[in-house]
Amino acid sequence: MKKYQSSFILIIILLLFWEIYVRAGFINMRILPPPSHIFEALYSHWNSLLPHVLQTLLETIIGFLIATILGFATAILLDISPKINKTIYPLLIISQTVPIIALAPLLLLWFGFGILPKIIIVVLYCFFPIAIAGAGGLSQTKKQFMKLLKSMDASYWQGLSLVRLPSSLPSFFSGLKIAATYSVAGAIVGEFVGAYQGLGVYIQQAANSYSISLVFASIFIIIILSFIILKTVTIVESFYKY
Amino acid sequence: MSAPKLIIKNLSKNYLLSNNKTVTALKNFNLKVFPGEFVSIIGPSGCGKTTLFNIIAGVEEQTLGTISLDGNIENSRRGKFGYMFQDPLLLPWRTIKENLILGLDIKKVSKEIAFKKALSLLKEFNLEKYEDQYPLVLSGGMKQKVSLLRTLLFNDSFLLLDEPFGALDQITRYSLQLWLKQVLKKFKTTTLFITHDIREAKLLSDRIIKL
Repeated sequence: MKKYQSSFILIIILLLFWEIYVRAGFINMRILPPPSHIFEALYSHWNSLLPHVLQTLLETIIGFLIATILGFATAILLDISPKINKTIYPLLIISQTVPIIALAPLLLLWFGFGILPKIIIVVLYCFFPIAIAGAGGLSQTKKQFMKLLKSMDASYWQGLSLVRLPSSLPSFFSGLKIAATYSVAGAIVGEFVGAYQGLGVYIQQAANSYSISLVFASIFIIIILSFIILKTVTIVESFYKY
Repeated sequence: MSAPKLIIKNLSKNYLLSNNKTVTALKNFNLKVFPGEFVSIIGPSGCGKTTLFNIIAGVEEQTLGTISLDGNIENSRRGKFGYMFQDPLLLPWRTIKENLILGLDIKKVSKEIAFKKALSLLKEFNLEKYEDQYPLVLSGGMKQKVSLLRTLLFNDSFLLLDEPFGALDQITRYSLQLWLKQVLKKFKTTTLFITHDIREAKLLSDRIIKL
């Protein structure tokens, strides 16, 4: 906690500045409510917010887990043979040039207003950094390690499981951390396009009724959710010694 | 005199460059190594010492020539030599005893037997206090000791040591040279050793070859 002390102090200073700036009348409170109003709105509307928070969290966690499994598998697939790598890698790059927000309405048409299209959108946001970071980590195995494994007559899978995969974990976790920061945003994008429940829906409803404090309260929750997922990845990472 | 353990005949290695020219790393190299012998190979950088070891260990293919081990021409030599490098190549996420059994994991030896062998080896060389430590806490010299024991545990009949002490300071290097002598005496291991240091070669070897 100590290492985040300076960031925490900076956040407090910025919030105080924001509070004073708005209360001093430099800006209309209806357009930019002060932090105290936002936290007050968060507290008083918590019961109505909670189901939306849980819905977004569920979509994020399922999507993030699926993206992790798919990203991991793709990283190994890219590593198995240069031929497969040359075939799949350009497709992965091309897939990233398509704005995911443009795909959201299509997914809605194909899979309806339920949880599935949101999960797919989270997967689309998170999959790429995990797969690319994982494949990068695997391809960067020290040449000397490859030589050692060959001299010991290790099979591809033995080399992968005993040496290459564990040594690529730092890179893999970097990808996971980037994906973790995208994950909640992915779910929100999906909910914006069409959903019954979730923070994306709540933000739209709050904005339509000019409850700017509630929009900010939702944004605050999104930040917290993203932080929780990122922190979970960091905690899992700390179990590995490398 | 007993039959040679290793016979290398007319070994050559050419590399094809991207501009279609070839570079010769080894040319008509011949060598006989007898059981239990310690042979040092010295030579300037780039003369093909490491290429020779890579070919013997089966990591690279030769362009021409044959390699016989115990009287048989061996075309697939992987796993038949213990190969150790200048870099100890210990896995930072494995404890010392887990590092020691890497080769046995590859040979699919059961964990129980592998750990038994690793612990008895550590005990034999008074290193048992490090069994549950991670490589991070070891000095450079200690790491090389562990790396050598891992190589021995994988294959104690024929070692290929590629400048194992090259990155160490003089004092550590000397103590490790003496330690290596003691270890190899115990195992009666046949050893090929690459070094730049003529004094090191003189101290350790039965025979020195210039490449």
